[in-house]
Amino acid sequence: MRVRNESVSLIESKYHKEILRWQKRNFPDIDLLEKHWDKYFPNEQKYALCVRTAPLENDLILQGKYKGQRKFAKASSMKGSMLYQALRIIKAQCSTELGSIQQHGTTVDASYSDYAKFSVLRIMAEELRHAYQMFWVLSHDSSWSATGEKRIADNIMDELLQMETGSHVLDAFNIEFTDALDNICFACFVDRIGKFQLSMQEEFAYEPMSMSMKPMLREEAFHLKTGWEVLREICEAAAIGECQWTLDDVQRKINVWFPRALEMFGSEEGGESNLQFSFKSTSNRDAIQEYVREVEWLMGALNAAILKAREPGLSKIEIRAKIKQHSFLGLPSTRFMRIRSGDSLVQSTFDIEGNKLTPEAYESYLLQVLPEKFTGTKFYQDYINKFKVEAGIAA
Amino acid sequence: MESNFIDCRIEDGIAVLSLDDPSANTLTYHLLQELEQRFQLLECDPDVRGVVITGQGEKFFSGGVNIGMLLTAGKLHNSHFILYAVEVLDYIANSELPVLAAINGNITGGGLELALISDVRVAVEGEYNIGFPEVRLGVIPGMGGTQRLSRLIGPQLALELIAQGRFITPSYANAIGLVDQVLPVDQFKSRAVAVARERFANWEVERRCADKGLTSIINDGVIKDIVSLQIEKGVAKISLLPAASTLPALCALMSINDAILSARSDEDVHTLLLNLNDGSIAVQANEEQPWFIQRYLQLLISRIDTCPRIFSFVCDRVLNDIEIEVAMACDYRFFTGGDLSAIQYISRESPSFYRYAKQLNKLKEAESSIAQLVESGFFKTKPDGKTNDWYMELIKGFTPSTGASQAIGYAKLAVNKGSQLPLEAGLLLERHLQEQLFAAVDSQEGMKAYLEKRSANFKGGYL
Repeated sequence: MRVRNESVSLIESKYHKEILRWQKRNFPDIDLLEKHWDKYFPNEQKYALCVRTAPLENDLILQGKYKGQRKFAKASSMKGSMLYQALRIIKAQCSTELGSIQQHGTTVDASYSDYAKFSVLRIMAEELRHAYQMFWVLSHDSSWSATGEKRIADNIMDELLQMETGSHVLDAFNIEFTDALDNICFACFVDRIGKFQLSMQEEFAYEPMSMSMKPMLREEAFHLKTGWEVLREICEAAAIGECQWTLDDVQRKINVWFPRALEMFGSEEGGESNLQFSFKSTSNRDAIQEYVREVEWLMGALNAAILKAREPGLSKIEIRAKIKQHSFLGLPSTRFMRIRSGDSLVQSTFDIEGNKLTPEAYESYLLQVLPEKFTGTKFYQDYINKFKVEAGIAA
Repeated sequence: MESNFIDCRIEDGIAVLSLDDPSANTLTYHLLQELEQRFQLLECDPDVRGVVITGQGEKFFSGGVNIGMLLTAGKLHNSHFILYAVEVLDYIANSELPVLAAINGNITGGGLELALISDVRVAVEGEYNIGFPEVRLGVIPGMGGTQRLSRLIGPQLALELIAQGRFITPSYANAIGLVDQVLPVDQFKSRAVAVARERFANWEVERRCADKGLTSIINDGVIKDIVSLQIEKGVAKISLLPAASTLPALCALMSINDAILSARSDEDVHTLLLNLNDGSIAVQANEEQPWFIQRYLQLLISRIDTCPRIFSFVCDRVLNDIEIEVAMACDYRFFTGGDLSAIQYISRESPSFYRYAKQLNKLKEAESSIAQLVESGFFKTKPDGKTNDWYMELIKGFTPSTGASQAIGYAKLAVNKGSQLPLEAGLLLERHLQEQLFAAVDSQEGMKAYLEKRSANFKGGYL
């Protein structure tokens, strides 16, 4: 099946081969996915490592400094800070795609079900295509040399393809997964940010980037759907004790991923220049509020599913009334475990209700609300050690 | 001229330039290029008595050099950027137009260096950052900041601010003399303009022949088809085309300037050659040039002089006053004409030549023979038995097939710049250039190749 109006192409052979080499090292199971594609995803467009672009609904810049001008077809048409900021966004986007493949790869074999496993493999494959797409954005336009670096695509490819979990641009992609519940919570909470970012970037002032967004968004929708549906299944099973994880395990995972997801938007105060340059269509503050509203709705639906699993005879009205009184799962406060809020780590010692804790009480509190295995990861250890140094607490 | 980064408004003789590149008005090559051109336009405007530089918005005057650019661009681009930034700041600093920096918000690094070249600095009251955070990034202020700050507030305080990389408030900046006056938030920019008007009222701006006619030339920008730039095997050949001869001198000078900026930032270029065989910089002999042409010429000469590449010049005819000034700034001059007596005619007409000759200490006489001129190194001529391409063979001496060493450009800086400085400063310059060369890949390759008894494969360029 081919999606109408999408153009398909490949990137320059040397880059294509380099990405295939990376895939063999980091994602060898892609063959398994291709073999069983029709079984799990019949009637859906088959996976292919390629560039997909869609025609623009509007080729004008709709906001900011260049409002009313045509979107820039060449990188060299963007000048000053705009050029470097565009590059930074494209590079970060690419890094997230590669980073998530490395994260998913460590735990995908222990997935909750066969369908969950192949769904995660599909997510990984599509993330690889998204990275491929970003390399196309950088490599097909030689005018990126206007940045002052002739080998921009080669350099960024060298840098990104050598990154491992821990060295990616955004924190959420530097956390090692400790079990298959991470795969699902990540798809549900972090990939949802991807949807927001890609939607906002449909207005991107650099045309090749904006033309890339629609096909990526179409694929991203599956990632969210997988995260949400499998998480709901897990919660329903956990509610009646028929799952390897408890609801407390799920809550602790939410406590890990929700704060990291929030930080992917950047600080609430920032993002003004992205609007000025038309790299995004919404301010950080508005996007965060919209995301939180959406995730709050999901939490309500999860709580309803849990209650329904425990008490199948309840009507919808009864369920709604009951979960108002008692919810099984909840979102932590938006102030909980923030690293890049603009405040220092010592100033950011809030509990999941948003109450301020003393630095001395903070570490032991975190151990109560986070998954035990997570507190053994390098990410957490680096975080807590940095916090202790800042707080003057002996490590 | 295209306006992307500088908003310019002229209010009753005071030009207000607002840096406008969201969100922090950071300095990039593009912004500085526009600032330079915008300033040149103001210099040609006889109605302008002073300039106010400020930042668009309320948060930033300027956050300094764009770090994203420094991280992305190659070493060569960054070296070129710093060199260019220093040239632009020097140009403004040396202008007869007085400048007031209206600090409307955070001002750090290169932004503060821009304010330091101003004659007056006023700041809006409030709590925001003023300072040089460069050491936190592992570098130092490199656009004149260390020198200008220490001359303004004394070396003790300057070292404290720079070495600690800490930020200070406007009121403290005012107390130590870094800022002349702190103004209220309300109507800050209007108040700053009023201060400029008052301070500059009796300022003597002696621009002989400030010429509005020249503004249209600057506004139209560089004319592409009067200069060609060809880069081949490391040699950037900048040729003035016949069409240049029919246009005002400023057109040719601007086009040459543009070609030099492109060529010297190209990593494949090891040496530059300015060719005036086909076109000329059109001026009438003995005619006094407009003041601005002289000013622009000095900018071009300085750019040739500080270019860390060997810069050669070729002509086959008698040169006019402007052309000879350009030729003098180059490292080598080649004469390819058939009539050698033209060389002697050039020297008789040019005061620059005698300054140069005195420097060489070779020519004692006011009049000189062709033989003396050639012997002095003023012009190289075709050696016996060589083909017409003889000068290209000489130039290629700086661009061997395995690549030219970075050391060639640095040798030029050490000799040309160092010899103009007191011995102590010259030695300091030499030592720092040598340290940089030791840290660079070319010296590692050169020494390794020496020990391995093979030709070095240099990457060229500068650091």
